[in-house]
Amino acid sequence: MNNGQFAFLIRHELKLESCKRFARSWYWIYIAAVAVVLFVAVAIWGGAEGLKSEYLLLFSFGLPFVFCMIAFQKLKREWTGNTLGWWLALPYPRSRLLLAKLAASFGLAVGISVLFFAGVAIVETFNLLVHRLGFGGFGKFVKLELHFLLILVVITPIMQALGLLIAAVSKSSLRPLTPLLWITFGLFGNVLNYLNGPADIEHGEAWGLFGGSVTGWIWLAVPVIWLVAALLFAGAVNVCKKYLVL
Amino acid sequence: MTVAIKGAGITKSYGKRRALDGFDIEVPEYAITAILGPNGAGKSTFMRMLTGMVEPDSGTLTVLGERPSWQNNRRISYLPDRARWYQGHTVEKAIEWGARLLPEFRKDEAWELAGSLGLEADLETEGMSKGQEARLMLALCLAREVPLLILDEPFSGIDMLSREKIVAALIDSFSTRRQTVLICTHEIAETESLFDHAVFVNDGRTALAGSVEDLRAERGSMQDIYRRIYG
Repeated sequence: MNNGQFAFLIRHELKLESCKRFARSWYWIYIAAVAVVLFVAVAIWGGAEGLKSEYLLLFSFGLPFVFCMIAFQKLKREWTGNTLGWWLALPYPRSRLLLAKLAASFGLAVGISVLFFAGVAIVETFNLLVHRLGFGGFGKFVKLELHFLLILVVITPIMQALGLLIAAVSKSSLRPLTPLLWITFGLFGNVLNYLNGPADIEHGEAWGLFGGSVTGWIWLAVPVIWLVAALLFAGAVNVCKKYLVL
Repeated sequence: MTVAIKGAGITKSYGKRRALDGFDIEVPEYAITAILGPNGAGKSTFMRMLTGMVEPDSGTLTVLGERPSWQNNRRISYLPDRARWYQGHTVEKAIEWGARLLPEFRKDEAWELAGSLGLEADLETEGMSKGQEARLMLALCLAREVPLLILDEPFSGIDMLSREKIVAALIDSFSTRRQTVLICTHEIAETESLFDHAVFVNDGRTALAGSVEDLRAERGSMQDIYRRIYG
């Protein structure tokens, strides 16, 4: 498989669901409704001591789970869409076929994360403008967002490799392992919770990400996290090679 | 007779169920061979083995002189059983997909086939009938100039007019190129005239195999033989 073919396969994986999803008008209606509610809430209850934009960052705790499910769906789709035969009979190694799914899922995850944090930054800007708080603390807020984004980017490969592995195992002779993998999904996906611990943002007693104490050592764990991601991915490839029940 | 596909003593089990049970087969090169049998006979399991999607538990299998593998799939055009095409594609995108990912894919030929099968470039898969989708998938398979064409149930669940169009496209294609063709089907009545060679599969074993001409001379039409074996 040359680079052009691999890039095409990634684009194919990216386009199939993303285009369909964003083409739905009701999808945008919901997004617009949520945005309106947020801006109204910030205008009414915002301000220095009121509703803080930091609270919105808590929604990102769910993103690792979402990213895992994106990868899971990318592989599961081959069964539900009855396209498995086309996909598996392609004259390319299973590792490349799955890597294309992983790369597409990762691209989507990064895109969603960037949109999420950009959206929260806009809400914070609105809050500062409406309540005339000045932009002194905006830099700190953006830095906090970047911490969240970096940690999400670091842990996304592990969640998405796990998503591929769960999808492959659930369609294989190793299916009895599926509940164990879903438990792992629950444990791994809570990484942002673990990092923040008992965050009490309102009273400034937070630690972890909100307190800014975690970022020093978390990066040391990056190689380990990515090694585990590589092992999970290798597991998914192996299951697709040897254990699928067709 | 040069053999394109040779299998001996192939077994494959799914749990307690034996899909193939000592299956033997020889498919002659450059002939159109039919794999015939009722549902559950093991035909599709064997077809999947040819592309390396399923591995035999035991026995030997060679396809174009090599063991089935993803590398060998470069030389095989395969229409999977019960396949659908990617939702969100148009005919144009599907042909682009073939041109970019499938070796020896002839884009001009794909467009010609799509035209003759009544498929317009902007037709979306989501709006296609099952027959139109089957025709699209067949066009993608026939547009590849490879030594082996495998069609697993190409007529399954589609209307009579689509079946006729597909048979016409197959006849056109087979008359213009030297290719080994393997077709697994239940629709014997409409396709009997296509076949040079036939293999009847029953309970994971070869029940009967031979040249269609010889079989007809000895035992009557393919339909009669089918009824006698499975009836």
